[in-house]
Amino acid sequence: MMNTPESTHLPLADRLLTIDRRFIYLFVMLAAVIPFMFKVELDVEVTPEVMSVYSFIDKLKPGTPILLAADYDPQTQAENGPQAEALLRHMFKNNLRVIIMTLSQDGAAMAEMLSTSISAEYNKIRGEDYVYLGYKPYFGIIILSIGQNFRISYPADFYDTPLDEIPMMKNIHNYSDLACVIQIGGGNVTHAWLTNAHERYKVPLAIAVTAVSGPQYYATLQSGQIFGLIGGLKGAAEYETLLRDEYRRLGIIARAIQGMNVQNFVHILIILLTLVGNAAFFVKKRQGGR
Amino acid sequence: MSPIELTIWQTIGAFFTIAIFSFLYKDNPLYKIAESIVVGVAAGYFTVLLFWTSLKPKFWDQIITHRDGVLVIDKWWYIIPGILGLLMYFHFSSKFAWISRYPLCLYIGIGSGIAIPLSLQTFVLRQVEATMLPVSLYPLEAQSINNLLIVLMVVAALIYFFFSMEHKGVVGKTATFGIWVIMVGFGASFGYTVMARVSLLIGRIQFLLVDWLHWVK
Amino acid sequence: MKRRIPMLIVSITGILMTIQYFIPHPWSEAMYNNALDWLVIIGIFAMPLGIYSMIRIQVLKIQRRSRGWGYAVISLISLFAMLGLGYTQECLESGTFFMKIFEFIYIPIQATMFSLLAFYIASAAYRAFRARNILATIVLAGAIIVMLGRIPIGEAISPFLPDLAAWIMTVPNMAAQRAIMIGLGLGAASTAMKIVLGIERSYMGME
Repeated sequence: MMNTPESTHLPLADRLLTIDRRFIYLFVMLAAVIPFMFKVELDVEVTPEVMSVYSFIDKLKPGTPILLAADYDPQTQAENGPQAEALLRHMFKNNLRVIIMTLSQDGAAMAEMLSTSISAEYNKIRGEDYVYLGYKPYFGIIILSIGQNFRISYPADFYDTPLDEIPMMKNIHNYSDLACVIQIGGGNVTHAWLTNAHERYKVPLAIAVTAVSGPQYYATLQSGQIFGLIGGLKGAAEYETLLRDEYRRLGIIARAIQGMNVQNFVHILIILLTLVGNAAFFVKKRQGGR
Repeated sequence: MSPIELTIWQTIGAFFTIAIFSFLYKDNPLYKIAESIVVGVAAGYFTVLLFWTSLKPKFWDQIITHRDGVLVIDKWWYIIPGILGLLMYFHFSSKFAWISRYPLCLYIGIGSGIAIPLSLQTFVLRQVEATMLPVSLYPLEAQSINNLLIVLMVVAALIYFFFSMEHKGVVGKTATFGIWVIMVGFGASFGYTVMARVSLLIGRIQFLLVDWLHWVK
Repeated sequence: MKRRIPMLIVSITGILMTIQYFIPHPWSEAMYNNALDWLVIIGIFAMPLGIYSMIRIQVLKIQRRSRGWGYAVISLISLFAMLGLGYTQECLESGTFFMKIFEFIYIPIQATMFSLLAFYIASAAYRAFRARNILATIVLAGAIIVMLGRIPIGEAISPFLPDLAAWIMTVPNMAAQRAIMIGLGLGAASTAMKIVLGIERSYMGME
């Protein structure tokens, strides 16, 4: 953990450049923990790309069917989880009929927990107010098959109830019966929703993706292929800001907004680390080092 | 779930969280045990999931169904894709591995056939179409300047990727501008990647401090 | 039999599917529906390949007493424990013991493993993110502006920062991503065409 005895005799720039990486880990951990000690109510600025998702959902009439594809897994739960919760709360608050599905294998459990817990907050009945279809492998094929008929890939829902026996699914056959698709995830599955659902069947699509995937979808946002984009925890915090009164009414922690304070601290730390690293690098370079 | 049961389960979760964090100090058996558990649990969960929510409703229940309390053979022809799927397992045989090519080729053929028009439509035609933006010089507004910049930047970045022409003269200068644009894009991607990674850490700290220890309300 | 027929399957199905996109005739629709239906089933049967492969690797490790073979035993015990607990469909519903293992063991481990990346990216930024030349400086500046502009404190530092970050995302970043996307689209379509025409055969282990 400590520097070697030789390194303590080195010039400052060298010592900074050879610092044990575990010190950096310690700084990051502290920057992530300390902000939790202070309760700060942050104002999160809502970007147009998030606002358009909110407005679209908000304008739909009660009872309108909507598809929520929760294609995320434990790895990205910290980002996609708050996005999914906020979106589903908004949909249930507006009494929309929601079809929930997933194309991620671990997402099957995540989406099951999501639909069970959020539907309980709003006393929604499975089969009437929402349906959970579950997971099927090979996402590209599944997305295409839904364009023809949900029943090709999903003869039954996640709980083994045949789709034809579910009241909510009575007049829902394919994308043309839905107001839109909201996909939560990122990566190849999002690409497949773009090509196989939006382009092939012209269904309106909005996406809530991890921050890593976020930048690449600005091109599809500008082209109108997606009508909205929720990027990472920041995007989730924006959506929670729009639903702030609802979170207060339910007495639930807005986790993404809570996380923004930590995001502040760690970003500043990483920027400082980058600047210090660069300063040490250039000092050493001027002194004739590598 | 009772509060005590929840606390016990959360404590187990916290134990494994800390076990994984211990890797930051150095590799250790606790980390490796957690890693091994994840491999087994993932495979076990997936097998169970696939059996109950895919194989049973999509294959088995389609072939053998209950009608008026009697078992009836319905869509018998589903056995054919089932057999085709099983042929994939010949992949592990050195002598008969070629048999696994049949279902694989069916997949690749259909997948490729679908991908040709859709890839061109989504990622080429629609993108080119969206770049054809109106630029009005009078009145000159911020949106017009941005539209002009978008057109110039997309063209420059594309020229950078165009290697059939030597990057010299006007082409060279445009390509240099193109690589600058791409680098700004990479910078934005890096910034977003930092955001994403930090968010993942926030999720775990929230689990430890908010859900488990209730230190923060 | 070993090569020509598989290649013929690829070509025929590929051409049919491409044509189907442009000619939505009831016949081609019916063929398309059946193809999707069959592919879902083939996919379901093919998926356990990965699981079989994982078991094989773990068993080989134990048989050969390779380094760390004890961990392979733990993996197999976890696997069979989950298979044992998943004996009914109801086990997949929230609140069951099977799901508690997923929620309180699997999720924390997986999520924490990925959260380690936050530490690594901080370390990488400190050690390797250098303004060595003009291009690296552009990346560095872009990243810092976006990092500051996309967090609430950015607004406090300068009200100009969020706007600048938004401009970077919607103009230069968008343009760069679009150029990459066009390249990706052309690449994907041409590879698919090469496969259908039998020029690209590496998926069959052939040059």
